[in-house]
Amino acid sequence: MLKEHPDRVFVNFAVDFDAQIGYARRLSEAVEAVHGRLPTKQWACTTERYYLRDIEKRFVLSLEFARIGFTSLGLDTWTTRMTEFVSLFKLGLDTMGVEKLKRVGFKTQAFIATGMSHSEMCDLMFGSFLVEAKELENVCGKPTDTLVQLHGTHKGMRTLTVITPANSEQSAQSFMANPGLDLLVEPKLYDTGLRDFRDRIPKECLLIENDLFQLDPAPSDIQGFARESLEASEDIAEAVIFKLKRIQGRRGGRNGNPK
Amino acid sequence: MAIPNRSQDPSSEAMRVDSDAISRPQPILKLVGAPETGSGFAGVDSRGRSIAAPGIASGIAVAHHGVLQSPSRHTSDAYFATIRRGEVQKIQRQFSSLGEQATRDDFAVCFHPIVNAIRKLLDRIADARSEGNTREILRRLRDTFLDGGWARYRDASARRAAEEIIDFLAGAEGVTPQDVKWMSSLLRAKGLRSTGIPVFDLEGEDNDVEEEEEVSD
Repeated sequence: MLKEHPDRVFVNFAVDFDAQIGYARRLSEAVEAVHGRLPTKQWACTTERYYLRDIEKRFVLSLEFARIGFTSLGLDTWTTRMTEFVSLFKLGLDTMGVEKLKRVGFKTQAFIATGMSHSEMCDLMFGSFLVEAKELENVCGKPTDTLVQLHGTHKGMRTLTVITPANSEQSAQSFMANPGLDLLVEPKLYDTGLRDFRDRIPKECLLIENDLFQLDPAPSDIQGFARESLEASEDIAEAVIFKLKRIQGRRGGRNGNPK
Repeated sequence: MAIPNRSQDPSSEAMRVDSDAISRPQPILKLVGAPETGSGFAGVDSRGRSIAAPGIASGIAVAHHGVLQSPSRHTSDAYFATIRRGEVQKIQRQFSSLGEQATRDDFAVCFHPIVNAIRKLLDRIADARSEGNTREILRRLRDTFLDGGWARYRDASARRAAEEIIDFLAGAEGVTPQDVKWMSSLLRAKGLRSTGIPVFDLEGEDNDVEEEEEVSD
């Protein structure tokens, strides 16, 4: 499902760890090492953080004393260069002398067109993700909007999934609430990258935010986690759409018209 | 000036032939008398597709009269397809239990909730232009349960045929006229009649029937 709409997915990947002694020096060395391996040379920094930016491909690598992160507009960059980025994470971690990780996480924010209006999707949330609307009349009267947040586990990863029908205003607000968006455009006054992404978002869509993470992973687990989390995000998004649209089929499968 | 015949007016498509449709507004054409008709002419109210109108009316008032359903906020094909899938999946679960009941003397009563569910679904998707073929299939399938047709479903092959149809409706994104054809063929092949009308024998009439004697004047 995400791979069918890669240009409507906002992606984050992050590795968290404890700060090391001498982190200021080690951070600079890590940034230099990673920067040397990237084809793009644009960068920015604050007192605590370095940003390595590729404006053309719309992604940013961020390095700070307790986190290395990746952000991109669209899923394709992450999907096609995942191995390269994971190797850059490992290079940064090795240069900083990090041996123990606290958390590794992969988060997607997908705006999926369903062919239905906001009110239709809200109506269908009842009886699929929520009990029937009439059972909630004593609680909220006639419901007009819905949001479901689910916590779970999937193949050893913890999941946090938010499912909500969004109208054009809500989807724009959700997207613009992501921090650091201005790092993805240059020059900031003329580059239309963010507006183009926002314009690609369907006026009424199903917003699926999916955060998969592992606690206390080994550094050698990052590659496996990156691959499995991408797969799991795809499966979860598909399962959400299938459930909303009452499509029968196993997770990851398709149900077409029989002959 | 003659009043134009509005039977070709697309706005009069409120007249539906769908027997399962809920009450639809019907246009009423009221003819207002002209001075030539005299004060005694009360005008003509007409309901229907076409009217024979005198050419001397001076005005026309058209009103819609009937039980109006409030306009639905939900109109997309994807929405109605989802409704159809969800409700047919419930029918699917009801139908799947028929195999265990097939030998019961009161097997007919097992079809009541299924027929009821089909009726409610037909009502719910009555407004869906994209689900016309679905409605036709559901009607034909429903009709095979009626007028004693349920007895055929004691046979496992008949149940399998109906299950194939229900399974399809429970999963399909769209239903085409070709789907109506193959499902009708499937029902016919299993001897499941969808008309509900008994086929009577034109040849070999019973000659033993007593004829009524003429009553003399």
